[in-house]
Amino acid sequence: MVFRKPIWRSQIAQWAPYVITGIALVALTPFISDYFKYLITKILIYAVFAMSHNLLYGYSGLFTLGHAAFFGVGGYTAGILIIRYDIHSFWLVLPASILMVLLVAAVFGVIALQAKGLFFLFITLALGQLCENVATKWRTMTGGSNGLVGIPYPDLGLPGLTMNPSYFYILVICVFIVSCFLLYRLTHSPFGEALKGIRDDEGRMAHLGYNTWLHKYLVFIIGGMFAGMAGVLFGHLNGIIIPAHLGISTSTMAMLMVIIGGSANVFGPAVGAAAVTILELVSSIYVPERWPLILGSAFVFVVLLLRGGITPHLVRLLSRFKVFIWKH
Amino acid sequence: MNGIAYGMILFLIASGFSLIFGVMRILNLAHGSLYMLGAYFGLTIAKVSNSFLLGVLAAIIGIGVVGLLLQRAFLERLYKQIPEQVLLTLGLVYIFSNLALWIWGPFAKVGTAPGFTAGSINLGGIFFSVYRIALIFVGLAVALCLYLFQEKTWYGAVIRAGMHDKEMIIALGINYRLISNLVFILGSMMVGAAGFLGSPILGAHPWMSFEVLLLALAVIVIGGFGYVQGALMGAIVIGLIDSFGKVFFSDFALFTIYLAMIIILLIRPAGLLGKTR
Repeated sequence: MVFRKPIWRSQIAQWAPYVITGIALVALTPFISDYFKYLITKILIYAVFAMSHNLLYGYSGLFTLGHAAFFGVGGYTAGILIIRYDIHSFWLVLPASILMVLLVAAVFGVIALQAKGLFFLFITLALGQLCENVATKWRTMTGGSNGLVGIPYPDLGLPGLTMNPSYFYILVICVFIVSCFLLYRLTHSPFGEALKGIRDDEGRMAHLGYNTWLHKYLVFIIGGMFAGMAGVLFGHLNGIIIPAHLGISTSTMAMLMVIIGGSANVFGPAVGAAAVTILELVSSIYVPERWPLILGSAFVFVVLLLRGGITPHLVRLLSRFKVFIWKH
Repeated sequence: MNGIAYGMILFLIASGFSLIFGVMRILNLAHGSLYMLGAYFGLTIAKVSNSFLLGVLAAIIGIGVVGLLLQRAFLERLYKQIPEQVLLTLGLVYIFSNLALWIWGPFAKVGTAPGFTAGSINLGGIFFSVYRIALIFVGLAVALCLYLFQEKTWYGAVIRAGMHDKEMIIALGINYRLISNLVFILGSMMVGAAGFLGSPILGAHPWMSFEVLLLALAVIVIGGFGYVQGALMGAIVIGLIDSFGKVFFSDFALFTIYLAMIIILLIRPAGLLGKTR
């Protein structure tokens, strides 16, 4: 006879680690330095970006090289609204930026999903580079190749709260956890299952009566919106958005995070984001000029030797640790 | 005319890329980096030896060797795994770009056309640089040789057969590994030569890899994979689009190419001449 735990209990067990991590991170706020907060904030923002990339790459089989376009459009829209139009309230800037990303993604999606396979790859790449080009040339709005400089921390409009690294850190943790929750629910919904079906065999899903184009289109837009949200937060964190944030170099960063973390799991890319950000930090301390070299080597290493990313290994290690605790 | 000369360089870049993909299903996104390395190799040797011809040879042989190493060390293991190939070769782009920055410095280098092609000639009131005209002839000669090679020789027949059915070729007892190595070397040599021959026009700088890659992709989008004629036509079209783009929207040079590429993919999702699979 098989005993099954009540569903709610297994759900609590499933969610507990994330909630505890979140609370722990928030509780740490007074004790860690501003630089460390900056680092964790950056990791969490990249994590949202990488998870949205994985929604397309890992779950839907849409191999895109232009995902950073949405990240950058989010950041630029927020920056332009704040700097050029003097709209400071976060509650206006964020929805406006996400709406902008939604529009861009809706247009790009129609264009890109015309093509399949390799040509999808090419067209997303070209769209991303197109955005980078526009951002470089449209100097009056975007600041040209110097980027849009001087984006302040978001203004939450709460009385008696002046934004500082600590509050921004907490804000990003909240956004991260909400994004994790939404992405988890999305990938474990019937819609998510249909996406996996389309990834594995699009022809069969079409025969089963699924509108595969619409599924891919929707997930393209949803992924873009999460990337755009990450871009808005990234602009606030760094204070600057440059054209390269729209183009292939940022897209490949997301790609690397996904493959280092592993694409089989919703949270794998978050692990990858942490790994890449920490690698970047270490490299910036010791050999700042050689960072692209290290980045490229990481690609080669992961592709040749670390198939599936590090997350499966971590999970195995964790479960062994659990067994160890249980035995003793 | 400038557009056509530019198109010939694009042809040398793209035909190697398309040959490698067409024959071996290897998507080498580091192709732009090979171009960059070809330009640097050639420029360095040409400067040391003071001979344009030696520069060309250095670019061709050097990039041939680099290509062979790439294929033997990495890409051969990733047969038919397109996402892995893309990731690996993107990593290689970063590595090569940074190495070039390390060795040759951040400033763009521009090659000088050899003495015997200096100056320009007057054709119906418009002056054309001799070097560009020479480029057009070189490009057309390479295209013709490639075409004859692919269509008329035994090796060409094997390559064409391999494009359609690799397993059958192997079953017939042909050393396909050798053939594909040779094709990869050939493709790399062409892009290496392009790098050096193009350096008087395009220059060489460490950040050009992606630009060159996108140009090659744009050509492929028009010309389709694996066919010399397609690559030639695509290259000339893109070369002309780019030249007109530079004249009419001077700030938006690459912009027009991306736009053309997107529009073509929108109308013909498998490329302009590509067959719908």
